[in-house]
Amino acid sequence: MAEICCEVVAGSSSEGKGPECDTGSRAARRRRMEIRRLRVVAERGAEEETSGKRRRLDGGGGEASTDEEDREVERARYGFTSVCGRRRDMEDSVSACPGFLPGHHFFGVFDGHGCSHVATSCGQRMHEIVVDEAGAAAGSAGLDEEARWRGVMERSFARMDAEAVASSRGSVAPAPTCRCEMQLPKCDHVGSTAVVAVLGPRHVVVANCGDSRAVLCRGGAAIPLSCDHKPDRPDELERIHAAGGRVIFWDGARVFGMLAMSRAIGDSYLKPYVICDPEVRVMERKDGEDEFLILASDGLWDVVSNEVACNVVRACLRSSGRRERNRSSPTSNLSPRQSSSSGDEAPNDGAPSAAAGSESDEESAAEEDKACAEAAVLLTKLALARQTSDNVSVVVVNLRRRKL
Amino acid sequence: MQPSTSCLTNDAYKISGTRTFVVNPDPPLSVSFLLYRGKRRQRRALDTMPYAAVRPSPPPQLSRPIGSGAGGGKACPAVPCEVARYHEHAVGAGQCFSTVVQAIAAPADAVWSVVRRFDRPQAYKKFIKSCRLVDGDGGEVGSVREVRVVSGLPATSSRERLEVLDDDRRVLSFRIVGGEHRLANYRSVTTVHEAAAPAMAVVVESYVVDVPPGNTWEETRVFVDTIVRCNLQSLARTVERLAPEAPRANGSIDHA
Repeated sequence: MAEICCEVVAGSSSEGKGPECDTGSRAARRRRMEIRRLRVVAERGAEEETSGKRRRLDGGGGEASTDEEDREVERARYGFTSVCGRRRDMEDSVSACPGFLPGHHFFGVFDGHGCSHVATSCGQRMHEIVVDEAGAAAGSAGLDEEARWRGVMERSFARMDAEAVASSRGSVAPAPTCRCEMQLPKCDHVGSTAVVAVLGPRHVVVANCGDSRAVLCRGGAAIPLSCDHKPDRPDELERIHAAGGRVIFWDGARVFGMLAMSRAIGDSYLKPYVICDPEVRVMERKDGEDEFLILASDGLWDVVSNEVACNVVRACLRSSGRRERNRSSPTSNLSPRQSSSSGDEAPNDGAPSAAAGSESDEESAAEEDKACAEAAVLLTKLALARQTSDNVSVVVVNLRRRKL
Repeated sequence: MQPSTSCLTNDAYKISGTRTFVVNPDPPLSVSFLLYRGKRRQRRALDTMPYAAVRPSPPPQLSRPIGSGAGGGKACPAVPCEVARYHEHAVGAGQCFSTVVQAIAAPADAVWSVVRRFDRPQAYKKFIKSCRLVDGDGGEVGSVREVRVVSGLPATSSRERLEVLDDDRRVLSFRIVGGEHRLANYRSVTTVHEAAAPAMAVVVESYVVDVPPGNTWEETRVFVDTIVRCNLQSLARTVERLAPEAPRANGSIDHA
């Protein structure tokens, strides 16, 4: 019987570090058999705090870049779950940082193996490293957006890998509770996948390393934005052999019969055969067609296809949309104030005076967040029902732009 | 100084119950089958490799070390001739044999004090999440430990029985008797020796194991060699880091 312990938490500012906020979700295994515990928490307070931060960022963004001014800054609508499932230990990590850069939102799923501290480090640090690298790359005006983001991601993954290796060399571990603390000098067999998405006003940037996956739903079709790094993928197999490595089929294709993925953060004992270079894809957004984005670990994708996952999420978001419309119709008398509130929001100084409209917007926003969280939970339940044998971590991001 | 009298050695073997450890080359090959009866001995034409066929006849070849091709590691010294006999295994058809050698910049006694802890393999071995004794105290032949393996690897647990623990000759041997993995009839021997250079030790680990169905003997050797090599390199780093205080610790162990 699968044991489920699930936490769904909206983004909260745990570090109090300006616009950056980091949410890691982890579930410990319950010893009781057949106990299903499911907690879904939508923190409106945290949401308001995030909104406040984003308003300040709006001003800054407007001053810094005229390109951004022609577009209303979009609030992130997302939800995620991360459950232990049938594994004995929880080694996944999820990171969601709305507004981590002006007009941009960060999402990441990190599936650890060997122990949890590399995935935990990724969850805590990857978005901070991306901010650093994006800031450094901002000066290079010669590059187009795609080349710039590609460089940012490749450098960020290399830095994250270096940090993971450094923590393996005996320095103080960032996650002191991890189980291999006693074996610090020997934990270069620990690693993590990393699938990262940066959602901007015009582009979705996805960087992947390992066998977690990002899938975009556009116009009803499931579009994979990442390709799993399995050792028997022809180009990966060729790269490993060229480096002098071996891929052996031992309960699946594995590098030296050991690791079931060909790229990962950490795992320094298998370098240079297992590398940390991400495959980066920069996708232009299409309003009216883009529906949502799913990031998940292989605990989901091993048992659920891209198409099934998209159908589940679409059904979930649609039913939420219907509830939303039903609720809004009795309040048609508020529409004039909503219009005025919309007008006030543009200069970012109308929030206090339009309390009613703002409240209505916030309710709608919370509803959409809840729909994303419910979609993520539903996908997780489906994976567990289909007997996945791994931790499951899912992030669902709503990409439909709201028209005010 | 190690006693090298052959009759004394033979007596030690009998006392340690190492009859299944070294097989006299005179008996026919069928004796090997009797010694290595196992659940999954599916012999296939694919597994009957010339490598396996050569195993029983020339005893000196049994302990030949396998060079480290993977990872371009440091060159491996040869197995010291005075201990080559400990690493002679009777290898049956469908089985794989290999030896890994690791030089360590530390006194042999310091290295041995870590290797001999049958109850605490995680002190130097990678890939171990936890270990508990399920029989015996870890210091006597017949002790059994249950090892849980970290995630991400094609194994979950391993149940291992201590076959030899000789502090005078620094020989440790264990057999895998259960667990969730594909290494059937695995048996390994680890020895620690002084090297020619001062304060240098040589660790030799050899093993014999069934080739699992669907794999070749070379794949099996590459897989197990990777694990053994990682463990011995980890042992080197562990002991070299502890070397300054190791002599005292080793002394206390001896006196206990």
